[in-house]
Amino acid sequence: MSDPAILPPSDLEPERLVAAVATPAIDAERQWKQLEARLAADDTSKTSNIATATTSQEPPIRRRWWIEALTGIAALILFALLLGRDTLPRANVKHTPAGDDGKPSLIENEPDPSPLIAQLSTGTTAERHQAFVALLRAAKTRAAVDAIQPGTDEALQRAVADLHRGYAVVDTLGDFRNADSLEFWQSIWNAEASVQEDIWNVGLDLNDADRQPDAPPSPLVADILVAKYGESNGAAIKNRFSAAYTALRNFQKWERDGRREANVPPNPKFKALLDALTEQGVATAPVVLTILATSESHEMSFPRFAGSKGTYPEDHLRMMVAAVALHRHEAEPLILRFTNGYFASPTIQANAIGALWHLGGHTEKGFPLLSGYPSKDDIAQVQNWWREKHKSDPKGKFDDAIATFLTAKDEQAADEALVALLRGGNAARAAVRADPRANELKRVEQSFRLLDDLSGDTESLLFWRSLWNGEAKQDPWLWAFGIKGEGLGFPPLEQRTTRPALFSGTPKTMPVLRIKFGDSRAEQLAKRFSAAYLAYVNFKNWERGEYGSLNTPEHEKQLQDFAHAGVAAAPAVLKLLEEPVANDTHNAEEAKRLVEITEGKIPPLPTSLDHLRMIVAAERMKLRDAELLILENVALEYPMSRTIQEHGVMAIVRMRSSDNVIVKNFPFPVATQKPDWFATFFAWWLEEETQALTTEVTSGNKARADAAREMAQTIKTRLLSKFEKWNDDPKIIKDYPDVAARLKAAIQNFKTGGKGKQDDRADQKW
Amino acid sequence: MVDGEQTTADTAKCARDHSRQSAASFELKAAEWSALRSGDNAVRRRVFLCYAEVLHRAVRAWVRGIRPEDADDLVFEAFFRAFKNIAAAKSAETFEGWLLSLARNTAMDFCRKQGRAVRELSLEDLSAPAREHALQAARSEDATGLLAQLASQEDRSMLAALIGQVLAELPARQQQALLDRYRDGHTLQHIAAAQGIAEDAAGSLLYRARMAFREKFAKRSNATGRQVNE
Repeated sequence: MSDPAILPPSDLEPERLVAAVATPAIDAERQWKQLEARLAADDTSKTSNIATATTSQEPPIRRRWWIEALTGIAALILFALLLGRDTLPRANVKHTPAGDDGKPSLIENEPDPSPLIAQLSTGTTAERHQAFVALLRAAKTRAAVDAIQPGTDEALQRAVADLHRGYAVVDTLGDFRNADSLEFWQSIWNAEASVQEDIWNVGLDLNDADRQPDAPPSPLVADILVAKYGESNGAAIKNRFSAAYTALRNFQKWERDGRREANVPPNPKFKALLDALTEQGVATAPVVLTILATSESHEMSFPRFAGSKGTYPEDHLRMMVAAVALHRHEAEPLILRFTNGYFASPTIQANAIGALWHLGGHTEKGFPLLSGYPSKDDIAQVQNWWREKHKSDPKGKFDDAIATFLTAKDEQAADEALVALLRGGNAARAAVRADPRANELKRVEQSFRLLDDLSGDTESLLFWRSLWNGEAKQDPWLWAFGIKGEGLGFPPLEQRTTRPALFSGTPKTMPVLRIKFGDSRAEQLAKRFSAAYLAYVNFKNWERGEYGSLNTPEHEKQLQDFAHAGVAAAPAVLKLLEEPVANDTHNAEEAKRLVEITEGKIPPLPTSLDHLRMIVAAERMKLRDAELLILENVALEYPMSRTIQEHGVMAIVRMRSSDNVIVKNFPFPVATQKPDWFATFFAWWLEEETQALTTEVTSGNKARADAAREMAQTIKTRLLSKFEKWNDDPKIIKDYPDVAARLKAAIQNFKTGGKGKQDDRADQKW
Repeated sequence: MVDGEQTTADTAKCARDHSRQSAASFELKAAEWSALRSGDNAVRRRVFLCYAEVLHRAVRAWVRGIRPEDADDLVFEAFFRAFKNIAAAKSAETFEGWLLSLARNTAMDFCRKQGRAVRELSLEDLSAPAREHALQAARSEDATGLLAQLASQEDRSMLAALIGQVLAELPARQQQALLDRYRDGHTLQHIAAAQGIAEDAAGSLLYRARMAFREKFAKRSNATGRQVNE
């Protein structure tokens, strides 16, 4: 051994301490059998690569648990993204119970609290901490702590107060087994905030970020963490929490101050910082993940700000910082606009120039270095610099590719030209931008933008959302379905479903995917995208009630098929799978509103879309009298959007159908949305109802007869006047006398209790 | 090398009862080594049963506070990797060290995923009273009794992890000898029989184990160490 050996003092025989080592209780035979089985399975699969083999086996329960936890984190981040930027709002933070019993962890052989309590005021700093932690851990000593009378001993007073706070906090901390969950970190964050109020301001209020609270966790919380999770785990949590907090502060500082904080780097270095954090395992802390998500949220808000009016200076500032962060070249002209005096404040102008400096200006000759607010000359200098820079772009080099793209006879040729341009990078981008046919090259421009937008993490929602948005920009149909598809007034369904480009599995954004991920991975992503799209379209159709055949079980089966095909791993599809669940709550609310309208508690809703949702909701919730509700509020409402009425009618038909067999004698329309068809339908419904009630009333069963009479009364009260209103429509009477006569007869028949003659009350059935 | 008296891979034998799952005397014959490399399950089983406890102890020392089922998983994973990658092991003599390194890497992966670190413990990690208590035990004939009096469970498990980490740095035979002697209180004769060696050789083995342990232990605490060349 080259190093000088170190030995303990001669009187010390540390080997005696081996007695402290416990014998691990293991069932080696059982474990061997499991290992043998796995080795055999691995041999069978002929997978020689150990890494592949490891991941291809069914993971142990705990590993699956982690996967689920990570999935949960992703979902929560998605939720936070959807909600907006306030990442950890106080109201949303959930406390999770500590451990299984929600109590602080007990320790064996709890120490006698008296010496510990004495140490709280008389011990050294280390001893005080030790006693504090020991008392916190020993739940049974709470009573002893409660009984302490600190008197005038200030140190003891403080310690006792801290202990009481500590007990309260310990109970709210999460289970360490969930240490990778957002809830866990929220509980830690909450604990810290309960001690250090300022942490909220730093965490949530960008404008108040000048405050400098102590770096968390505070000593009290640090002690609590040790007491709750033990020395080692407590230290690990402390480190992660501190690192996450530092990352948050850095990001906020960087975001707020833009270029002025030279010590907080712009995007590439910031990314490197986060990468470094990831390396250390810190980025697994959900808080940091949320920070990352926050930075990405700028990306999504970027187009919204572009060209919009009336945004606040802060918005511009953030936008510029985001543009720099994302290193987007289209940021340049946008930022340049903000340098215009009439448009922005001097601060914004200064920041805009700063942003341009970050985007590459610092490498350019003649770029003004500002020491204060920019003068007009400074601004002019920057604008000239930008114009000059773009003049010198090598446009000619990409003329051929642009020409090929513009004159391509088929989609494949256009895609190839697009790929060539995308490969050209910034020079090609500048050439496209400078081309006078910019409008015709919109798709190329959009593709460049998508290339910037697409996250490298294909399992992230951000990636799928960017892809979806990018696709939608190039394919208006997608907007009609996916984005704006909530409303009505779209082209006929038949046209909407014939979309060979997407259904064949080739999104229009394929060239971008190929450039970004290579051909084979792009193919896989395109397939996933198409499958998600198809699921989404089917779901939307079914939700709108436009496909009678797409009922819930079938739809669910379809989604299951996707899941089995591995498609459900795509976040977009997971999102889709979540939708019906989310809609259950939504549906309950919508259905409740429908009932409340009927009961006169709230006035009818003004928009037809609301009615449509209520129909779907009432039908889905299988409300006992959904049919009456829909008839009363939608179908018979006069006047009402014909489309909505049609949906109401179709919902009733679905409710009356079983196994998708259309109900008997149903007046299936040749052309819906005509008044005669509706009148025919109402006549049919009333005839059917009269017949059904008659059967019940004459069944000889008193209960059934009573129920039928009650129903008849309800129909009379709630619906009959509306039927009559339809029957009074002069247009129907004039143009469709037969239908009008049928409806009139049906109404009369119902009114007379199913007998047919109003004046002969003796035989009336109800 | 596993140990001094182990001169060739094909001379020794596994003299212990496998049911005790000890690695202390397990040595691979040339034929067995070839069989192991070619995936022979009988030899794999012998290796597993002999080293399972060593790996378990090491894993528990490296990853403090690890749950028993996680420790099972790690050992399982380490053996799986070892058997699948056996071609990467250079020789029968270095197999044990290689296996322990592999287990340590597996434990580090686990820690990384858990967001914690594999930390080398030292005496300083114990609380001051516990440290004194441990040193007192190290000077006492009745170390076992004194250690049992350690008040805090935290300190007890910390000390066990520290000693476990030091042990894990020793060859398996030395580990077993120390455990037999100081934890289980066995005689030299018993150790010799268990290891399948002569009593003199067992004495030498125990001596070397003690020296190695002291050296490794001293490195964990400057306060208690002295350099040999002083």
